[in-house]
Amino acid sequence: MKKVLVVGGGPAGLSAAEALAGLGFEVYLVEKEDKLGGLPVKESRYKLFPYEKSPEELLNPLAERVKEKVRVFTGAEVEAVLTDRPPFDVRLTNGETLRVDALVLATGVKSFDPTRKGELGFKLVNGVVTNAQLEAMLARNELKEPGSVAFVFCVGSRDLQLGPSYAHCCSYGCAHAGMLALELKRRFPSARVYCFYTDVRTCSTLERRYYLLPQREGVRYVRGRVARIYEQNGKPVLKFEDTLLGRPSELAVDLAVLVLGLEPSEGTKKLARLLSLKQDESGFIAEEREGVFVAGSCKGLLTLQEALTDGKATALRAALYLKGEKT
Amino acid sequence: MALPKGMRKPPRKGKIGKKVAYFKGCALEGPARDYDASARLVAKALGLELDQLEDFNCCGSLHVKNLSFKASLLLGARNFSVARAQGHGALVAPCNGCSFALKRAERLLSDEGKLSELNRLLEEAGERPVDELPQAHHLLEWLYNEAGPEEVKKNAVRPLKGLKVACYYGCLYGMPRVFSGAYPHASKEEELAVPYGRETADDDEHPYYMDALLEAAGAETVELGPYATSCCGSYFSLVEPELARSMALKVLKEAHARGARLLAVACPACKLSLETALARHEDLKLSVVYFTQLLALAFGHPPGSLGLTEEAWAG
Amino acid sequence: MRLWGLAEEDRIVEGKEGALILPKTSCDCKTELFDEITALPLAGEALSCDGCGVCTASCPVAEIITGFNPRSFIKTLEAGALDEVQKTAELLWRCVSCQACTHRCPRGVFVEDFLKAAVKVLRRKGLMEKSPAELFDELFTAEVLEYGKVEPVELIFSWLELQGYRVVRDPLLRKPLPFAGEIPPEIKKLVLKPLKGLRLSFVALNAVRLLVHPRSRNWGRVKHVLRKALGEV
Ligand SMILES: Cc1cc2nc3c(=O)[nH]c(=O)nc-3n(C[C@H](O)[C@H](O)[C@H](O)COP(=O)(O)OP(=O)(O)OC[C@H]3O[C@@H](n4cnc5c(N)ncnc54)[C@H](O)[C@@H]3O)c2cc1C
Ligand code: SF4
Ligand code: SF4
Repeated sequence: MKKVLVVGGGPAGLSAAEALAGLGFEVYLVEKEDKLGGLPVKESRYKLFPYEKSPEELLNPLAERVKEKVRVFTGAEVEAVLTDRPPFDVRLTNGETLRVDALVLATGVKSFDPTRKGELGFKLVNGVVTNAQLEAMLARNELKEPGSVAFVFCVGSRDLQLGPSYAHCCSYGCAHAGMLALELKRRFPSARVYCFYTDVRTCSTLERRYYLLPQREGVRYVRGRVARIYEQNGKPVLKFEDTLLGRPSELAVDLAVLVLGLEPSEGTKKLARLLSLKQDESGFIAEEREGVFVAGSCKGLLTLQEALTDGKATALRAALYLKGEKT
Repeated sequence: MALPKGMRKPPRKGKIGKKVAYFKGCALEGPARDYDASARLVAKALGLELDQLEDFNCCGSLHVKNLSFKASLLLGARNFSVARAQGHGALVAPCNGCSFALKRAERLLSDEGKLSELNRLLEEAGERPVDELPQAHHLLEWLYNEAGPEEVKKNAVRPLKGLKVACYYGCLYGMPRVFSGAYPHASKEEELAVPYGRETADDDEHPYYMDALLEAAGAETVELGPYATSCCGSYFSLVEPELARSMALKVLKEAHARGARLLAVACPACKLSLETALARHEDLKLSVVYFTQLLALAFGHPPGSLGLTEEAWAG
Repeated sequence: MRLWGLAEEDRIVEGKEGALILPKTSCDCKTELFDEITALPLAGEALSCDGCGVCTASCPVAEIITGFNPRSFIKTLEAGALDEVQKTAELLWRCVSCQACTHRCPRGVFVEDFLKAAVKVLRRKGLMEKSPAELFDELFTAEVLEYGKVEPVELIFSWLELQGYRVVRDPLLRKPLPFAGEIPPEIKKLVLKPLKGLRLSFVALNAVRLLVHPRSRNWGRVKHVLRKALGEV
């Protein structure tokens, strides 16, 4: 029986593994963390769009199904790929060496480190938090009623001041912020909730639920990118231009939420190196080669739904390859 | 605001060098003589050496570039040529305008083919071509990295106890990062991707080098918030005095409101602009001094010898 | 060739005869003005501008002068809407070159350089009067061209004289005498400050400098090349 190793147990890796096992291949999966589920589980999120379910609700059943049919190594990474062509001899950090006929890379992304954008005051200004922190607060029911909240879009995305590798869009931030803004508005009807944007990218059906609805229910969208956040009287003050009015402005809020961008994970960069795969300007994996398939966000940013679908699609490509070779 | 203590990076010793070319600039040869004198005293006390350029020309400041890109680079290239002739790989300028203009020239001359184009002009002018681009730094960046707070503390025989100082860096000290190389939070890998990242540069948004040095000298620093890097308007001190004054006034008012007695600067143009505004607002009980004057004072030099007037110092 | 916008022949123009006719369309894919500006060194990055407003939000002048708005300057010039450009021309030169805009622009636009380039092109096309800022740039550059170095005090007085202040100069060397004439009080105060501190050596040294303008070595030859460079962009 043909063997496949899936690297990364996030949404894309899990769905690829499940599909390949279902198609009758012998599948291994290696995941660096102790828990399967990828970024959504690691960052202990509250709710995932468009499902509006918690990460556990959404991804645990998938992980359980995978564990039944797939040999899973958690807490381990790929250490070396010993052969250049298939079959691949892969050594893992837990001492295991596997011989497989194909590799599916699904090593995903990591969140941008907001301390790099000093002007936005993370860790410097009271009341500046990340979107993941806000989710954790919501999940644990820790958030006290705020007078006002501002979502700051594109922190670590679309920003060449961070270097030439930061031109890309995170693709989840606008919808994610729209979902949380709406949630806040519903929980705390008298709170003033703002979204500061350059463009709102809630593509396809996300537009209605995560842009139109929040607007209708009182979330105020301001067209201007936040240039600076500093502290005044213990509160964050946002500096921005309301570009539709053409007016430079300041706004004091209780909570400023940084909507963090995503970038290739260390694992993604490492595997690209190990397998000498081309990376694009942002460091995402930009090519496949014989026996090596790339799934999910490690080749460019996808939403969760897209990552799940892409995992399946990649599995199918791998399966066709594996069948075409021998049968 | 200055980056809080726990987040600051220690000095990177040896990255610039203990001995550097000293690009004094036009102002320090003239009206800002006191800045020059105190800078030398401080460097000497800290075991560093400012090797003055025997001959230099105006950096072009922010003006020549508006008339001609090429001319502004020619001014830079000639200065680099002189520094190289004196055997230096690093230039240090005590003025924000000069350090901006020199860093800009350095950055733009490092573009493909630019240096050889300008070298041809230098040769035409009978000047020595630049064999290798030297690096340009601000005096403050050099003092922080090559000496640092530790050394300052050791030398502060007369600590500036009880002195409330607001450190004002001004705009061009670190901006824009494409020229200043201030990418302080980039990882090693990313630093490579950011071609002009400079390890010795101060924080890009919350500079702290001056605060760190003056704190080490015993002073109590006062937070200026976003005004630490907001422009003092010196570009328009003469051209649009009203505009310049309202810009300088924001800085002065903030310093005053935060209880500062002194405003320390690292640029003669900032000092001029701030003092011009102060001259009309004597209710703001503030004096503007060079940070090197305060350091020299802590190192035991009498105020009079530093050009510090009674009103600046006592009171 | 730019692919977006509408060409002049595609424009819709409406209005009664004799009334002010404004085009209904504000964009134009014939962007000679913008092309000319963005052809200048560093200004070309403005093609990347997405209009996010970070430059304007960072700008200290925008805080003070209503209507001074680097983002809108870029977009107005890009659209080539001449009626708007005319309004822009009155404000454009008030940029203080602090670089805050360029420092933060997420698209890597050299905003300050773009604005200076725009001034240059608008002046060249006769769409803008000579501004005091340009006058000062010229004065400054002329002194650099002549000597290689600038003498700040002399520069100040030359400027004041240009502004119509009565500056008294000594009859021999034509050097300004800081203590005579009518100059703005705050400047007088600054110049007199060293005297108050009784720093006579300081005053004496500066006086010498005023008499003998500092000069860079070999400047005669450099001047020649510099003058040529000044004639180019
Ligand atoms: C705060 C936040 C909220 C979000 N909310 C939503 C949302 O509501 N809806 C939505 O659609 N999207 C959301 N996203 C985006 C979503 O997280 C991604 O689309 C999704 O995680 C992509 O899945 P992936 O499997 O491609 O990558 P990942 O989720 O990044 O999974 C990659 C996995 O590979 C593992 N790995 C990495 N390197 C190695 C290695 N060397 N060896 C072994 N394993 C390795 C990682 O540990 C990880 O488990 C959000 C993102 C963030 C940051
Ligand atoms: S900051 Fe840059 S991208 Fe944003 S409006 Fe200004 S020039 Fe355009
Ligand atoms: S350089 Fe000019 S336009 Fe840019 S922020 Fe400063 S004053 Fe404003």
